[in-house]
Amino acid sequence: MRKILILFCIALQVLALATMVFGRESVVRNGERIYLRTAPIDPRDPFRGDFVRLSYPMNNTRNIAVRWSNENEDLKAAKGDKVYAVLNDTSSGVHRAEYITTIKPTEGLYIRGRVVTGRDGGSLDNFLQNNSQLKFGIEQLFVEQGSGIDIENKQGLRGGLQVPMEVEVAVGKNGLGIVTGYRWSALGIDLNFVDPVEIEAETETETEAETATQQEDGLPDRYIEITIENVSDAVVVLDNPGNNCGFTLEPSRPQFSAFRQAPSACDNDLPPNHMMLQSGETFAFNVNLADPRWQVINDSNRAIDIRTLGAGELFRIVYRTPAGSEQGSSAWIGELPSRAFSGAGIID
Amino acid sequence: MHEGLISADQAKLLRDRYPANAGMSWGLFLLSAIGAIIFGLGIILFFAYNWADLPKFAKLALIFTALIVAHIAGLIFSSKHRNNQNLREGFHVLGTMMFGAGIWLIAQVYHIDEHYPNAFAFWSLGALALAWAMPSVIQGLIATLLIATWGFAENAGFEKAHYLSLAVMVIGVLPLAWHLKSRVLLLFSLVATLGLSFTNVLLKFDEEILFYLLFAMATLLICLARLARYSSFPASGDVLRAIGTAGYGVLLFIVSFEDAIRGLIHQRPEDSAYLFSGGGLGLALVSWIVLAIHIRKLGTSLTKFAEIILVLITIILMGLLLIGAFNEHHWLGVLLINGVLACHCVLLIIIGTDEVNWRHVAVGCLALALLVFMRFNDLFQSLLMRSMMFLVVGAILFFIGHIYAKQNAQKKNDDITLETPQRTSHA
Repeated sequence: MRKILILFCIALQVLALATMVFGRESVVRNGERIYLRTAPIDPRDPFRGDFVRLSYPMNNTRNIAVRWSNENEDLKAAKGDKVYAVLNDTSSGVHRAEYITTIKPTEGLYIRGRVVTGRDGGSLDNFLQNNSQLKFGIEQLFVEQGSGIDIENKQGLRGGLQVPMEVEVAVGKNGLGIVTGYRWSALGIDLNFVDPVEIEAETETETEAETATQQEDGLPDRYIEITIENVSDAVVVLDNPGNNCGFTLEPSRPQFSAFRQAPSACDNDLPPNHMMLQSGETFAFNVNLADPRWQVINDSNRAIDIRTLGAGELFRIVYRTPAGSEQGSSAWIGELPSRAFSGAGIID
Repeated sequence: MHEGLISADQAKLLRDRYPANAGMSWGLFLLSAIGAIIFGLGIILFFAYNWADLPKFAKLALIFTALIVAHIAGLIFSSKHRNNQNLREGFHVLGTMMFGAGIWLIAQVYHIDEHYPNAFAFWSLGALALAWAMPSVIQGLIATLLIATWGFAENAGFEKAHYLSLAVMVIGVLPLAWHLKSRVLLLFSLVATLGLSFTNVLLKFDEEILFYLLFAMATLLICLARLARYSSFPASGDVLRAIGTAGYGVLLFIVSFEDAIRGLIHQRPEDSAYLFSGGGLGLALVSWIVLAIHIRKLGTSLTKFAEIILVLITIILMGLLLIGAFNEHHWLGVLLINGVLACHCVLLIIIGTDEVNWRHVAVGCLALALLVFMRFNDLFQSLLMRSMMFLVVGAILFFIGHIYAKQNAQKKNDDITLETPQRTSHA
């Protein structure tokens, strides 16, 4: 009798493991395979040597639309609540979360997750403003010990070109997502502060203008060089209308910042400007932080030069495909955030 | 038998009743169990390396095979022979470690980023099931460690009270310790249960409540220890008494400091926590009153009865502290609590001297010396007063040592006197 009991317990252990494997293996084999582009990872996040922390734009409600079937319904975004990210294909081979909902979708592709940090109770507005953190079970990737450094380098965590990782996820019918692999984005972005002397040497008229500006506001010149590189083997089309209007200045952590980009001429509808980047080719331009184009506004809508802000206030230059290009064009679709930097001249 | 102390028939009877290979060799058993645990950890680390050249299904097949083979080997070695019992336990421990390794491996293979305490929950349930089925103390110990890790991970990692782990410990492990009559398992599971209880209380209420609850729990455990001698597991009393006495002693020393009493006075618990604390102390008070009446009826010695009365007084003092009786005159509380503590030390010395129990005497003397040393810093500024205290305490300890030696010698003489008539008649 005792041996039967022991055998039963052993069988339970085997069954428990088998259930874990079967549940996930069925999603890997039968689920829809999609790619999700990761967001930049704060280099201060610990890399534990044998797994990589992944972050997606949909991990924070500040970055994504929130939609409910009943807009008047009070939302309780408590820690541990289930949420669903409805996904759509951007036609660039990468899926993107269209919106977040707490009501299980009845059709379409979605991935389920939970609220990690959020206020207990509260209305829909509070859920947005509190910038709740969400997790979907696809935020870590286990790799062979030691190989994570190569991934880290390519992601640009140690500086240099930032190339977003695109994570392959198998999504089951009930929204369970399982990481099955990864690849790299076709484009990478780099950001560096440039010595103003070098910039001034290029065009004397600009130097005189900048010198005059410096004398007016007493702030040091700050120039940033933004570089986009095609790291793939194919030609990539980049849509960058107007005066580099594909690029915006954004707070590094929007959920904790009181600033956003100031209105500019880029807010108008602009015709597309397609640039063909061959494999390995780069596109670079300089950003003058004194230019009102690169100012931010606070909650009172007051324009602020970021050079006046402290070193703790970090920003990113983000390339984002203009809205017009997303509809059936050949342009690269997605967003490329640069490394975080401050108006004081420090790169994170 | 060769010395003529017992006859050949008596020797055979004794050998039959207590076979030389009866029970388990704890040394060999621990060696096997620890070896299995370390081997299992080695397997976990091997998979943690996450060798990219090893295909997913190969890794899974390895872990499933290791799990099944380890347990089957344990079943094969299952027999009444002592050496095979060690191997049986060792293989089943290895199997349980493989179960845990399997959970982590599957999480690694499928990049699972879920609520990690759940892994400890499943692992602990696997160990607990085997602990009951075999039955096995070591599996119970592993389950205790894993359940405690599960509970503390929920409390510390997610800052929320977690009652399920506590319930599993109380319903699953404590009864197992009782069923197996294992003092080791009872000790570890009781400590883990108390630890989980108090972290959950801290998350539910404020920390002010913790002192009173700890105190109530300590006194209740000492009370239960006395009741345990009438149960089917009398040895459990040792464990209950040890934990209860340690807690009671430490808390009494802490609260003997003036700053501690001031702190308790100024940090009154909120209403719900207040009732909880009061309820705990009330239960302790009632239990000890019942115990005092029962002990008196049995006609125990005056010193033992005085010990019980002292604990009762301490519980009452804690209750008075809770309701704010010492708010205006905290010095009275300090004086009374130190008085009770000093009485405890002296009583321990007296009991130890009477019973010629050197442990009681030693603990009593050390506690008294510690108390004097602590109050030395608190109360006495004058070097003259300090010197007087040291002289007095030193003289007391010297006197106690003399009394103890005298009692010891007297006891030995009495023992010899009792033995001599028996030897004469036997010859």
